[in-house]
Amino acid sequence: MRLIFQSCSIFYTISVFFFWGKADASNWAVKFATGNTYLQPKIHNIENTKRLETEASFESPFPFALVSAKSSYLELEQKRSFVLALRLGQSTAIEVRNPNDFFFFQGSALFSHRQNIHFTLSTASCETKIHGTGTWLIQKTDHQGFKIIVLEGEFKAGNEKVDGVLNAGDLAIVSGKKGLISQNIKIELPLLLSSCRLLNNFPTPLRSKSRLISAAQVQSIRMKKKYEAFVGQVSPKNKVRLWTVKEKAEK
Amino acid sequence: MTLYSKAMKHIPLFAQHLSVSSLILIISSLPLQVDAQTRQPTRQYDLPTNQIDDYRARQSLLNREKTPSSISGEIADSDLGIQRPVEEKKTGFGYHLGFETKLGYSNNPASMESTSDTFDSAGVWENSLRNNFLLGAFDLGGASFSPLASINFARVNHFGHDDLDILDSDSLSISFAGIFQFNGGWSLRGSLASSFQFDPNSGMYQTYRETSPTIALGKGLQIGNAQAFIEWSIAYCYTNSKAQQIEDIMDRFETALLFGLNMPLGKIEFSPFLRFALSRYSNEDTSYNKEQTDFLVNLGLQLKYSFSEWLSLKGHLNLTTRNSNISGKDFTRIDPGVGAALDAKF
Repeated sequence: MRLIFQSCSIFYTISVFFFWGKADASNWAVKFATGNTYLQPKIHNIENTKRLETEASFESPFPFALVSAKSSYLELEQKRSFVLALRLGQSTAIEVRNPNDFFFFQGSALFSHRQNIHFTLSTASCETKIHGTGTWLIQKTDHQGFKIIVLEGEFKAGNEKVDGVLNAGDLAIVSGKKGLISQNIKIELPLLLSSCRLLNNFPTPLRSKSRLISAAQVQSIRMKKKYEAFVGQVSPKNKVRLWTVKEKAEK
Repeated sequence: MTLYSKAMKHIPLFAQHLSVSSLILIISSLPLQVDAQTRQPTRQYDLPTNQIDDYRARQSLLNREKTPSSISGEIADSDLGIQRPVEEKKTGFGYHLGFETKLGYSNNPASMESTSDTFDSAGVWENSLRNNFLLGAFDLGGASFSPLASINFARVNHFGHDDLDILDSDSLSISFAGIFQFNGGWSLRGSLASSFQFDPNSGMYQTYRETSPTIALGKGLQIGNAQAFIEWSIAYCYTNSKAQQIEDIMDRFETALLFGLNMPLGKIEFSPFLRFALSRYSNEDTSYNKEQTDFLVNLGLQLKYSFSEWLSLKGHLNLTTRNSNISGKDFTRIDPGVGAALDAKF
């Protein structure tokens, strides 16, 4: 019995020694890349900056950075037991610290997944968590917070003590080290879907396209009122800037 | 009978009762089989005219709002897209109340193959009250589902000749529908509708009843500013015709293909439609409608001028033709007219 136990221990130690690096890495497939998009591994003993091309794939140990330059877009898919789609907007730089831990230097991204994932999202002065299933957009604000918009599905955002439920069409601002989450604002989904470059500047539609459409359909049927305003950037005090629309522009 | 005299006939009550009683006596004294065989004009209950109105009413509850196409500056700079704040209802319950009055002319009001002098033309005045209830909107994850219910009442009066009163009718319809909407503008509708026809000239005696379960597959297309639609439906109509010896003689299988377009031109909406329907009658009176199969074509145009969200003026022109394998059932009729509609949505 003791011999069996010892054998198992040795086998486990050898396995960990050989496969530790693999278990800590992630496999990504580049579905689409346009412009200048890069992978920057942070561990210096492996190859340096790698330009990402459509249909390439890479495996990189954590942490690593993904960068898309001005007028550049990047779409990645990570195949776990399910598919996680990640799209990066232009002028975006994020560091992937762990499988679900993303540090945003700047820019915007889209996540789409059909299984519940617990994400940790951070900037230099903000950290928050979000978990749920669906398709959502995130943008780092000018003041180190996040703007989060859920396109379909349901999420819980914020930290343990301050959390909010976000459903399709909800926009929320997250700010501060404690990840304080604002009150939700409902956003017009049909307009967002038709104008969102993270959806429309890519050659292949998302797997969740039909869900996005049905969420937008339901919202347009339930529509009670549209405000003559549009959401802009976030102010230094982490308040949403609203831009009113003149009647002439409305026409 | 002129329009003036038609309006005035409601004043002398005694005379009205007398004429109604006379009419009842005349109708009830007619042998029904003879009526069918000699093609005496009666209201043809298997020619409902409201399919396009029903379709439009459903769409007005489910339609999408227009959105601005050009935004600039900080708002459009983001890859996230344009973010316009809105307010949503929690479940999506909605109610649409509509009243419509139409005044028109028909060159063949009785829908007969050959018309007599009496029935070769008529004025038609139709008033309808629509109550449509949207019972919610639900996201099924890839499709949306909306149950609808409606209760509608319509009164059709004919004028121009005394004998045209026989074509007058009141109808009440109740329907429930469930509409699934999918990606790409596809939709699937299941519905159950019952309509009841009454003779207003004989104390609201129920003359006809029809219950029809329907399945319809539709597709909507956005063509520039216009919205086009196509819908293919299959229905079975269970009927009860009180005025016929065989009460369920109108029972039939019906399949229809409806095409339409809604094109806004400023405040005017230009809406042509075309409907083909094939009806196969189930219950036969071997001496009259053995293996009856009808092919019906409706071609129509509606022009709608909206003064506001709740008030609009309408003009319409409809052409209807029927080809039947039963002799004497073919007809062509043209119905132009104008109308006004009051609509309130909650």
